[in-house]
This record gives sequence, C-alpha cells and structure tokens, in this order.
Amino acid sequence: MLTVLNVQQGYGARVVIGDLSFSLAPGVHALLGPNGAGKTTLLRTLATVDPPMRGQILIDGVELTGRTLDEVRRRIGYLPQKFGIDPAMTVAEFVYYAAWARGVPRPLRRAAVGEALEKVDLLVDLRATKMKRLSGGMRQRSGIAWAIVGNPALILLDEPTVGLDPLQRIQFRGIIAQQRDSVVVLSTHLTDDVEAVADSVIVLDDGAMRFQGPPAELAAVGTAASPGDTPLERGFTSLIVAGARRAET
Amino acid sequence: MIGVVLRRSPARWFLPLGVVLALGVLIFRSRYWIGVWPQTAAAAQIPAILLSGLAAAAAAWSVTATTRFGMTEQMRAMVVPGWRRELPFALVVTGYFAGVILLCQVVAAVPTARTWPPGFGLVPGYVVMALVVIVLSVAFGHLVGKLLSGMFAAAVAGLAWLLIAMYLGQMIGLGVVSGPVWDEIDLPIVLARLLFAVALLALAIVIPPRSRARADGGWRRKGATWFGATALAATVLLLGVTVAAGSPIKARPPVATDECAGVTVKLCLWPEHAKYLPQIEAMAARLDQMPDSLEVPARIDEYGLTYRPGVPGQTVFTDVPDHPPYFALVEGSMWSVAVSIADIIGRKNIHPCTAPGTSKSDDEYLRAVEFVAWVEAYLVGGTGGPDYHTSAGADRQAAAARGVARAHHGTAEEQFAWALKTKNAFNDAPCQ
Repeated sequence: MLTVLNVQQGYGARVVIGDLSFSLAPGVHALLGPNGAGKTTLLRTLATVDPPMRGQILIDGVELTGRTLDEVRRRIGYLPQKFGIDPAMTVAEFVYYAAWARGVPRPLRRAAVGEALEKVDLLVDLRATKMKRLSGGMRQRSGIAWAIVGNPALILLDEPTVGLDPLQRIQFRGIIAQQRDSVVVLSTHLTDDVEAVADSVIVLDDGAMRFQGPPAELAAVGTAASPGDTPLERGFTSLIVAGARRAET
Repeated sequence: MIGVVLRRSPARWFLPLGVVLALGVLIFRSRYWIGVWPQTAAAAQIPAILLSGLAAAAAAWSVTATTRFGMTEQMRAMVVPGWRRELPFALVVTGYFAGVILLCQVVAAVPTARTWPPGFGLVPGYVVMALVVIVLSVAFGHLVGKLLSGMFAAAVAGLAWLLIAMYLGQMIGLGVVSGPVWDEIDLPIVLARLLFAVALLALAIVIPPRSRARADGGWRRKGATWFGATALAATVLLLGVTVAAGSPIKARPPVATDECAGVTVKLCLWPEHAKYLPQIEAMAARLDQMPDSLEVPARIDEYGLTYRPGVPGQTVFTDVPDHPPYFALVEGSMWSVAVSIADIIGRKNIHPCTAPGTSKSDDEYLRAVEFVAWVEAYLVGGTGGPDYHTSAGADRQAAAARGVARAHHGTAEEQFAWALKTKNAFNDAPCQ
C-alpha cells in the first residue's frame, strides 16, 4: 500500500508538485500527464531519489524519513526512463547487482535474480549475454528485472515503453500485468498502455492531481468535443484542456 | 558482489599492460638481484611506482563507471549507500594491482630461492613498501575520479600520481631503486604507512562526490557520516604517526660473518652476498700478490658489516679509527668494490702535503689519479673498463684512462714496478 499525504516537491524555490495526496493498493496504476506535468518528479520522490520538500510518504505503513530510508528503499523497485547499464555485465550480473544494491540478503539473492528473470521471460541462454549485446526490447526487460528483483512492494516505472516497437510493447504489458501483487506505478503519456494494463489512473497536470480512478471512469469524463481518437484519450484531454483554461483565467 | 566486480571491473583492461610492464621492468632492467634476497625483493618492488600510475588511472576510471554508464539515477534509489557501492570497485582495483606486485615478487623469488635463508627476513619490508604505493595510488585515483569524469579523470589521475610518486619517492622514501644489504626496511614503519594508505582509501571512498545529492539523493546517511569520521580520524592519526616515524630505510645492524676471502688480505662480505665470493676471492688473491712495498690493510669489510659510519639510511664512506676500512659492493658491480679498495690503497700509499697552504703540482696529482685508476683496473682483473661514469675534468679522466690501460698491458711485475715508482715519485715530490 502506498500513501502520499500533502506531498510538495520542487527544485530550489520552484515548486513542481504541490500538495499531492493519494493512496494506491496493490495493482497497476498509470500516472498519466502531458510533458512537464511533474510525473517524473513525483516518481523520483516516491523512489526516494530526492526527499520531499513537505508531506508524508508511507509504504506498507512505514513512513519515509531519514531513519527509515533503508527500510523503505528495500521495498522500492525503480526504473528511470533513461536507465543505465554496465555494458560489460551479463544480464544475470546486472540484475544481481540490483539485488545486492537493494539489500536483498545474500542467501536469497541468486533465487531472487532467477525469479525476476523468469518473470520478465528472459530465457536461460540469454542470462549469460552481455548487456551491450541486447536488443532494445531485451534491454528493457532486463531493466524491469532490475526493478522487480527482490519483490519490492512498490515498483516505479518511468515511461518504460518509450522506444519499444508494438510487439515489444505488448510483451511488456504482459510482464507488467503479472506484477499486480505489488503497487506498480507506471508513468506514461500513452493512453493505450493505460487502457491495456492499468487498474487505475492518476492524471497529473501542472503538478496537481486532476483525476484518480479506473480507466473507464476517465473515459467517461470525455465529451465528443474533446480532442482524441479513443474515449480514454478524450477523457484525458478534456481534463488537461479544462486545467489549461483554469490556468488562463 | 566482489565476484561480479572482479569479472567486470574496467581495471581488468589495465592488467595485461600492468603485468607486462612489471615483469619487463623486473627482468630486463638488471639481473644483479638474483640470489640476494633483499635485492630480489627490492627489484620486484621497483615496478610498483610504474604500476601505481596505471592503478590510479584504473581507480579513477572505475569510480566514474556509474556516471559513465548513466546509472546514477537508478543507484540513488538503492539501499546500499554510495560508499558501499564504491567499495568493491576500489578493493578490486587494489587487489588486481597488488596481485601483480605479489606475482612480481614470486617470479623474482624463484631464481633466488636457492640462496634461502640469508636475508629472507628483509623481504617483507620491500613487499609492504610496494603495497603502500599501490594502495596510495588507488586512493588518489579514486579521489580524482570523484572530482572529474571519464577518460579525463583516468588520464589526470595516472599522470598526476606518477609525478607525485616520483617526488614523494625521493622525499620520503616511498620506494627504493635498490636493496643494498647494509640497509633494511623498518617493517613497523611501512606497516603504519600501509594502514595510513588504507585509511586514506577509506576516506576517498566515503567522501561524497562533488555534490552530496549525486550520491544519496540529499538524504543524510548516518552510517556514511560515522564511517567518514572514523576514516578521517584514522587518516590524520596515521599520517601523524608516519611523519613522526620518518624514513623506513634504516641502517641494518652489523652481523658476524664467515664469508671472507683471502689469506694475507681478508675481504669480508655480508652473508647475503655469498654468491660474489668467487669474484671477491680473485680480488683478494690479486691483493695478496701485491708487493709488500705497496701498503694494503690486513682486512677490508663490506660496508656496514661490522660497524656503520654516517647517518642511518645514508651511505657515508669515511675512515673510522680502530675499525677496518670498508668497500661497497653496489648492485653486483666488482668495479664498485675495486673503486672502494683502490681509494683505501691510494690513501695508504699516496701522501698529500700536510703543511697548511702547500700542495703538490697538478702533474703529481694526475699521477696519483693514474695510480688509483690502475689499482681499480688491476683488482678487477685487468680487463674491460669502469662501469661507472665520472664528471671529473678532462685531464683527470685522461689520467684515469692511462691507469686503466696500464693494467691491461705488461706483466704483473712490470705493473708493480711502475706502481712503486709512481708512488715514490709522488711522495718525494716537493710541496709548494
């Protein structure tokens, strides 16, 4: 369970996210918003990359503070949009490195790596392949294995489908759908990903939450006049356009 | 995790070059060290300075890996703090290069093994001395890698460390170019230096990168603060200890030896120099053949064998009353022995003016130079030329060359007759 209470975040004096509160139960949750809405800032804050300026974040009832940082981080798997790889490592070593850095106890580490690689369908013969030799899709799967190794309670994926071809995106959705035992927060600006895999959606715009609910409810918000090709797109754009009008007035 | 880093560390690319350089320096630089334990360990320690440049570069290259591979963001969300993530990389670089140094010691020890045990006790000092250089260079490279980035950091770390090491090497005895038998490395001092180097490496690891936010996302980590404070305190304390301890190169205490050659003139060696006994025997025999009219001491010891004049750690050749004179056997050179003994014989036989303000003519002094040069060449066996260079004036060098040439021609009797005539001519010449 992830609970965010009155979280404010920014860089220096600039506030990017203002007074955000929501709760997420295990399942796949899409974080939808236009560029610059604060999606990445929110994910980085949830991932503990930067401490929040204000507010509380609780994961499974444990509040994120300097004292509980390690305990909280053990429960988080984070894959940034542009995640890095050590090209000399094999796939298995890359994921092992994540398990070690996440604090997975040594006796459980190998099994955790095997489980993570299995979940992302990385075949045994690929595990000894060096990261630099992987295709884009395989690299992305390794990245997800990086994020899920050790079964974290909260999995944060920032724009994970960017750069994937349609087939790879379908495979990716299948993998994500299997992680529903955890709270999966999937940042995206692609509504078809949301439609295919998300149990709920948070629409973020200009650092504020415009919507939280199931994708069907978001689709219902839209009108025939809203821009977009699908009901979900129309629902999303109607919220964004309304937000822009509010900002203008 | 160490296993993964060992297999994937960028430092492994520096290794083949390191091994080739180290063994190349060991094998092709000289061979005099074979069969003499302190010289063997010192010779195997010499590549450490050269390798340390590579080690510094490898350490800098290693520590920049996370940034180079764009992994900073994802690592900032991890439980294991920055310093613990850096630790395996630093340990692996240290381990690789320390491994090369130990390999060098093992390779060097193989041909010397047959002379075990004399002098073997002096080996650990040189081994630790080399390890100190490696650990210090890794600490330096690690620090540079935190300040700069990528290839630039590696290049700066490698070159800057080489300059520092060469400067420090002379100033504080970071390394030696030879392990003379009359010196020893003070083990407690080099061990203290090693501890200092380890503390400095720990400090380099725990110091946050240019911005703390890059390491741990702006969170204050108690463990890092504690570890950092301990490393800093240990570094300062051990720096004080090592500075107070001074140079680790110490005078070796005199020993009793039965490694002496000769009958009427005895030349005595350190036990570790037993392999030179045949050459020293031949030299002693030549001294025995000299006519009685040429004065030669009854016993000449190798430097430091029965007493040690001068400042510890510094070789000073001066006469000390009530002690036999001494010769130096430097890096296996019989010419160095001959130079010392010729100097002794010269001083015993050629008498300069004693009255203040008086001296013999320049021609007489050149005659003396020729006499001493002849003694040198005669002792070596009358073959070849000196293996050293001198910056003496042209007239003195010409006189020395004449002396050496004289030892190459004529019978021993003819040479002795000339030597006696030269000695008498100098001593009889008036002081002006």
